Formats: sequence, C-alpha cells, structure tokens
Amino acid sequence: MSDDHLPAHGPREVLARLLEARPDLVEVAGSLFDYAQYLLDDDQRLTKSGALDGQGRELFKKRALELLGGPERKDDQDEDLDDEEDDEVDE
Amino acid sequence: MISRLRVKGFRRYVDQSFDFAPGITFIDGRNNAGKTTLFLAIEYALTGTVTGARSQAALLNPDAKGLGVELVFTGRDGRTYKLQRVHQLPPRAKSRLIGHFTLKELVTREGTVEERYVLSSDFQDHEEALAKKLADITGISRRVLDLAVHIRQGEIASILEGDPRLDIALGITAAGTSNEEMRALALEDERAVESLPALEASLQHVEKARGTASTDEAGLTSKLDALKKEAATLDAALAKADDDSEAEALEAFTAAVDEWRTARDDLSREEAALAESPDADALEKEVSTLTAALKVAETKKGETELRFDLKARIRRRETLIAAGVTTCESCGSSIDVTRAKAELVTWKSDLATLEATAVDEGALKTELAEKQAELKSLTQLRKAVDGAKKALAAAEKAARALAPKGDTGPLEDLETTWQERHEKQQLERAATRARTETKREAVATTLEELEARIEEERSRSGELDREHARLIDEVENLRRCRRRADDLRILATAFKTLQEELRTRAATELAESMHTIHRALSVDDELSAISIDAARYQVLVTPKATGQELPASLSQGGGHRLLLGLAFRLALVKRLGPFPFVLLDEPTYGLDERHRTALLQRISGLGLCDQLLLITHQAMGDENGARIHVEGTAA
Repeated sequence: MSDDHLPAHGPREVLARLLEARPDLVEVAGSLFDYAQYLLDDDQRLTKSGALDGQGRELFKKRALELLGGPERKDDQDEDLDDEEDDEVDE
Repeated sequence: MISRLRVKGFRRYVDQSFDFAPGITFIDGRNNAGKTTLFLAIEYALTGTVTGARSQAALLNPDAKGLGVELVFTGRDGRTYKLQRVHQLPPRAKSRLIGHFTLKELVTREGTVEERYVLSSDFQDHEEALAKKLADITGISRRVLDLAVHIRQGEIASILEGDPRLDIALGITAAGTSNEEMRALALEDERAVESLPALEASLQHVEKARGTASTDEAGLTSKLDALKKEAATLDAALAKADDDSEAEALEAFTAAVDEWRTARDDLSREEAALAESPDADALEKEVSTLTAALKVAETKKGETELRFDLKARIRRRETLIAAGVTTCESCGSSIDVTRAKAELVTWKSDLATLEATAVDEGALKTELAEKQAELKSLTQLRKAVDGAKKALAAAEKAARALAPKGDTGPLEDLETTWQERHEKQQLERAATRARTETKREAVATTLEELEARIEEERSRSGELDREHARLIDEVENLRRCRRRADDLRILATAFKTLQEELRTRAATELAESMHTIHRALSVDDELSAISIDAARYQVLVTPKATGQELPASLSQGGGHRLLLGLAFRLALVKRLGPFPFVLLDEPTYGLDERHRTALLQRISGLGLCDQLLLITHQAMGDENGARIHVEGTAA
C-alpha cells in the first residue's frame, strides 16, 4: 500500500513517525505489519483466542529474518514451512 | 468503484453482467432473486471464498461445470483493473474444482483499452500475492471485507457486543504480534550474542599468537636464507677443491715425456746397432776388391775347362792302369803302359800347375753378395738413426710445448718437479675438501633442523589462520546478530507503541465517528453519548432520556440496534478505508418506514466512499441513486 492511500492515523504512518530516527527500518516495519495482517486475515491461522498460531508465527519470524538479513539460524535451515496458498478446493 | 460485474455459473446465474455507476446504487428484486448473490460474487472475486460457503463447489450453478466472476473496478490508486476468477471441474473429475485467477490493469490509450497482466495463477502467481495486491489497491482484506466492506443484514447489529476480529482489522493484533515476535527474535539473538565477549577475547588471543608466529617464522626464514647462502659458498668451495684441471695437463705432459723417452730409447738402440756394424769404408773397399777379383776370374774361364778335362783323363788313366788293361777297347791295338804312366805323371803335373793359379768365382760371388748386403744394411741403419733423431727432437718439442711455461730444464726433471708439485697440491686440496665437507655437513644438519622448525611454525600458523578465520566468521556473525537484535528491539518498541496508540485511539475515535454517523442517519437524536469499551469493543450508549450508560444491545429495540450496528460498521469503513466500494446487504431490514427512508436518503451523503451498493427488497421511494432490478432469472 503506498503512502498516498494511508489514512492519517494509519499504522504505516504511525510506524514511520515512531521510527523517524531509523528510516532504514520503516519499510521493514511496514512490510512486517502488512505480513502480520495478511497472516491474521486467515481464520485457519488463528488460535481460539484470535491470536496467530504457531505456524503463522514461524512464518512471520522467517519473513522478519529475511527482511532484516543477518546470520541464518540453525532452525531456519531445518524448517520448510508451507507458505503457499492452495487454490484447489475439495468439495 | 466497481464499474462492471460478470457472473457465470455462480449459484443461480448462468451468465449475466451488471454495470454500476459511482455513488449509491440500489439493487432491488424479490426474495431469492439473486441480489445477495451479486455481493457473494464480488466477495468470491476478491477472496476466492465466500463466508458461510463450505467450498467453491457450493457456489456452483447446478447446470454448470465451472463458476467464474469478472470484476472491473477502479482502485484507490485511480487505476482500473479487471479481476477474473474461475473454479472449474477438470476433465473426468466430479468433485474437485481447480481455481484460477487473473488480475489485469485496463489502460486506455488512444481510445483503445489495453489489458496488462498484473498477476495470474497461470504465471505461477499465488493467492498470497493477489491478496496483498488487492489489499494494496483496494484496502480490502478478508477481515476488513467481513467487518466493514460487505455488510450483511443478519450480522449488522451483532457487532454491538464487540467482535474479537476488530483487533485484527484495526491492526492492533498485528502490532501486538509483531511486537511479541520481534522481542522473541531479539531474545534469541541476544542469547546467541552472550558468547561474543569470550569469542572476541579468543580472537584477540589468536591474533596476538598469529603476530608472534609470523615474527618467529620471519626470523627463522631469515636464518634459513643466510644458511642457504653459506651452503652455496661451501658447495662452491667443494667444487673448486674437486677442480683438478692441472692433472689433465700433467697427464698430457707425462704422456709426451713418455713418448720422448721411447724416442730416446729407440735412438740409443739404433745408434748401438750402428756402432756394432763394420766400418762402412772397409766394407766398400772389400766390395771393390771382390768385384775386381770376380772380373779376373771371368778371364780364366778356359783354364777351368782344361782343369776339368785333365781331372777326367787322370781319373780314366788311373782306372785303366789300376785294371791292367793293355789293349785299346776301341781299336784293339796294344797299349804302351809305360808311356801311359808317363803321360799320367805329366797330366798330374799340369793339373797341379793349373790348380795353383785357379780362382773360385762362386765363392767370390757369395762373398760379394754378403758384403753388399752388409753395406745395404748399414745404410738402412744410418737412415734409421737419422729418423730416430728426428722423432726424438719432435717428441721433445711436443713435450716442452706441454710443459709449464718458463721451465726449460731437462724434461724428466720437469716431469718429476711437476708431479711432486701436483701431488702436494692434491694433498692440500684433499685437506681443504675434508675441512669444507665437515662444515658443509654441519650446515646441512642445521638447515634441516631449521626447515623442520619453519615447517612446524608454518603448520602452527596454518592452524592459527584457520582458527582465526573461524573466529572472525563467528564473531562477525554474532556482531551481525547483535546489530539485528538492536534493530529487533527498536522494531519491538515501535510495534508496542503502535499497538498502544491504535488501541487507545481506536475505541475513542470509533465511538466519536459512530455517534456522528448515527446522528446523521437517525431520525431522532436520542443519544447523548456513545462509547466503546476498548478491551472488547462493546458499544455503550447513554440515552438522553435516562442519562445512564448501558450496553447498546440491551437498551434499544431491534431497529435501533440495527441502526447503531450500521453506524458502527460505517465508522469502521471511515477508519479502515477509504475503500473503492461498500456493499450493504439490506441494511434497512427491521427499520420502520420513517427510519428506512431517512437512511436511504442520507447514507450516500456521509461521503464514506465513492460507491455504495445497497440491496433492498422493499419498496423504494424517490431516493437519489442508480437502480438495478434483479429479476431472478438468468440472462
């Protein structure tokens, strides 16, 4: 979502303000927020209390590490999480 | 804004298209005519699923083998898109629908509309990418669609009791989740970084050790170079000690002297032979004498024949006399014996005279030949002596040519002197060589030891280098971890603040917005205040009549609850939007005519979005807005 469409109180705008001292992290934060929103948009990834489930959190962590870069972690190399949608539907 | 919707094989629709205008559009028709299906089709196009439908197959027209929706809309970015989504039964399959989607941008150029692919499942694009793109260009996610964009009649008022999905739609859950995960990741990195000081100390230690090792190796290498130079010098000295080039010259000289000595012996032998030979003059004289005697003998050849004849007559007469023969055998006459004897005496006397002066020619010839041979031999001997003298002179010349320059003494003395000198030099060289070899062996031993030490140092340096590289990698890795942990902490703080801000503002601002919308839509301004509980999003209202705050779901009748619920939903539209369109499915259901008319007349004036699609099956008045009548039969 580009900044032109953000409402004045939009999360990205707030993040940009909060990270004013670290402009290099603004886009990362915005992307992570959007990704969290995307993950939370799927009921199947939610726990009964409405929080993101374990697999969703792992996907989020993986994306965070991708965006931030830096050293890989051992558990990152071992995991092979399915982050893809399945557009085939069984009746 | 949606400009066109095509629905094919979708529930009751076989294939039908609808065009929509900006602003408000009222969609009416009898019950079960397919009004709600249009909204479900839009929902399906945007998300691929429909809330409440177990699967896409449940949406399939009974006579169709596939369903599809084509949605032409203008996004928040002002661009026009065509979204196509289908689910089809593949050949020979009965229950499994395969989905495809395509999102294209429609670009008008010189009066022609061009379609440009944005995303397509045919190009291996995934639903995630499409969902993100649609959220980008419409602001609509699944959650937002359910809460604020597709407002369903039966669900409008339920939001007054709060909805856990609101935290998600408002971004509060995302901010909270992001905060938690950033902190968790930071903690993991920080734990990993705990070993950094120890590793940095190890690195420092290894770097110091590498420096020392490098200096040690340099020192040893320098010593090695010096020793190699010394070894080279000693090798050169040994080579020089082995260099007996004079021996060859001496050998050549000795050979020449031997040849000279042989020539000298040959001359001595020839001269001795010459000395033992007769005098040449005497021999020549004898030859002359013999030659003269031989000439004389030739002149006396008649005497020789006479002598032979006398000797033959004497032998015959003596034989006859001795035999007493008195007659001649040839003529038969008698022989005078006395006379015969007298003649015999005469013959013997003559023979004696002849023999006294006779010369032996044969003996003379033999003697002459011998003397001539001796003379010839003497001549040859003289020539041989001359030759030997020449050979001796040549040998001496050759030997002197090989002698050391300046030495002019006798050859044998020169040879002796030179040999003695050479032997002395050889002894000296041998002594020098022995001393040099001893030194060279010592240097070789030291060299070996030094090379072994250098090899050891290099091996140690290699180990240190590997350890250094490993530590550098690990330390750099951990430093990056530390930087990332710092970033994660900063992000966690930002997300935490975002969460707090969103939560703090959301309830207050939503309540204010809801109250404003409610006042605009309601005929009676009966509420003095609306508040929203920030924890559960439960709506609390304060009627002017009582002045007491109570849950909205308890204080009002059904129509009022519907209006409050709608106000809440529209407040969400205002907060989460702008959206290109909002779908209102029978929002007037349960309202009395007064409120219904007011709502239909006022809702578009709220200016919440460019397009409102509103389904109603109730009689319409003179409300401003476009109208679409759904007949309930497929085109």
